[in-house]
Amino acid sequence: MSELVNTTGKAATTLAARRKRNQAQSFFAGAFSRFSKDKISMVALVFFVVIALSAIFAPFISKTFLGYTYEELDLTNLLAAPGTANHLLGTDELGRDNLVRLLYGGQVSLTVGFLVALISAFIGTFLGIVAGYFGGWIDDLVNGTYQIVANVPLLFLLIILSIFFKPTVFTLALTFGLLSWPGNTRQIRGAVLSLRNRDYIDAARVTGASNRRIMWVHLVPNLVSTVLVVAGFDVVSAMLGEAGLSFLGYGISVPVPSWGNLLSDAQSHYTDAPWLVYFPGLLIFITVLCVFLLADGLRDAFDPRLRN
Amino acid sequence: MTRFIIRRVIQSLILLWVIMTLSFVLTRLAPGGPAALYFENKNIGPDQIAAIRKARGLDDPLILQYFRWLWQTITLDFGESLSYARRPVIEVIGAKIGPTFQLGLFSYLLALAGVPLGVFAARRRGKWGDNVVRIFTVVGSAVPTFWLGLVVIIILINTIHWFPQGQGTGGLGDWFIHIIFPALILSSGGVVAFTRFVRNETIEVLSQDYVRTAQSKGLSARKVSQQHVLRNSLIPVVTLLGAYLPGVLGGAAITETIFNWPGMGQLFITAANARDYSVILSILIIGTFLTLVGTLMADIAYGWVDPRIRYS
Repeated sequence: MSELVNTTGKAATTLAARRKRNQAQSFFAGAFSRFSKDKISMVALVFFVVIALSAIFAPFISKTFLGYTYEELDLTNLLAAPGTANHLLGTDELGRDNLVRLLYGGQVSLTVGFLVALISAFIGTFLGIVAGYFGGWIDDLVNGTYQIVANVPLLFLLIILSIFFKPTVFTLALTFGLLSWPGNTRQIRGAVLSLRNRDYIDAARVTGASNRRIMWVHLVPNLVSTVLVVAGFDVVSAMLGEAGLSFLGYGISVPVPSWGNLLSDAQSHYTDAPWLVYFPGLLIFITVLCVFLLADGLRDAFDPRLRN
Repeated sequence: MTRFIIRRVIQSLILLWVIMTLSFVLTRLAPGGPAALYFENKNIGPDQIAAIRKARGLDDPLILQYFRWLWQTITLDFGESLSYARRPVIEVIGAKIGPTFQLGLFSYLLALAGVPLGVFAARRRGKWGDNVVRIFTVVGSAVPTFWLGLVVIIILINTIHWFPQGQGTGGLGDWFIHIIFPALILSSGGVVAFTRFVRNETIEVLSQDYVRTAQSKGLSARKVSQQHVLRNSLIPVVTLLGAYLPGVLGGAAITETIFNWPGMGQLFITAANARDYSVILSILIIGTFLTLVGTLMADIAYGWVDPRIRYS
């Protein structure tokens, strides 16, 4: 008898669990669960977190585990090959430890990447919402500006600006961000156009909601997914852009090297120290790849129809 | 259509004016003022500088200087270069346009390899052929192209003890072996962009009703793909041809520097290193102009090949 009660009890709980599972998940919970089940995204996330943490804790790691600072010269071991003379990834022409400098290098590269994404996602979202929602002359104005900014030869302009105004991390990110919002605006505007004529927007308007309320309460939450994806791809292009700029010698000149700076310094050692070329580029590649895959995974998670 | 073209021309002119004005402002902000642009020589005394200022009209009201400068720039008078033996800037740049044009055209042609690749991937959507192409595009989007160039050079040095530098001096074969590596590196971004774009477009077109109609009325698969799918999926590629142009010009700065290709991009970097302001600002203006012409032509061509697009 007691057994019977027990089994029915169990059945009841599994039934409740199943019912709960079958309940419509919220949009974000659904996207998050799809995202966390995507193996590629999770692998990319793990790699990215490891790289980001080692950049953030570079001072601690290099002091306790590697025993060098980023500017410490080991004059008896110039251009040491990886694995020799207690330098895991070799040294540069001044005998500075390559691994330590690579750890620090992530700081600048990642900061610039994410700052640019923040700025251009913000501008892009704002202009996209305004243009898409109001339409008319505002849309024309935004479109016109979009066409103009999209055609600026970005690299040339950044180099010239960096000659005249020595860029800091923040000013570089700001100029980069101010010039790279057009793609975002177009995406957000498209999303707004498809949302604008939904019934719930009409309903909100009928009940007397102000434009500001409609935009904040009804549009913005529906755009979060698009913005996240767009910002992810912004990080990709900003990190590659910063690396290219620093490689040419017009990036941020700080005592701490960035990955692009390291590549720039490595140029004169093609033949005698190719590891100085390999590792910074490899790190840029892996980091950018992770961010790219994460953005791609987010897009699929938010919009499962896009999946193959 | 005419209205659309007029609007795009006006937009282009505004950007050109913004970039030109920015250049003017920057020459005034240059260390030592605009006179230093002409004579960066410490031995020149104050009275000589005064004479130069007078001769160049640098003591005139700023607004007058601005319009004079604007007129000179429009008539392709960019002044003298500082680092190239004081030769006229237009001459210095003019000599470099040819090589950049060669490299750019070559990499455009190579980038078009993305078109068949994208069609291939779309037809085998979800199968392993598609996956290989997708992995290729993802890797290609994340790899820093200049690093790829450096690695190619290192590999060439270690295997055949040679790598391409400059344009080569021999005949066509020598030219080809020198241009193919920088062109491949420069085109890598384009191949990826074209592949992704064409794949998405083809998938889109394959799901259209007119394709199903064509299939259900018994047309052969080849005929459907050639006459109905390919034609429609390739139309938007025209816009990408234009959108890719700024990337080629910017990429040329890095690729030409790595491979020592004597083009506008390399000139820009060497002039920037020498703080030759008149040359770099002129390249900025000319580069903007070329980009604008390219994208404008692509936009017009788009409206022309696709009758559904009637720009309003």
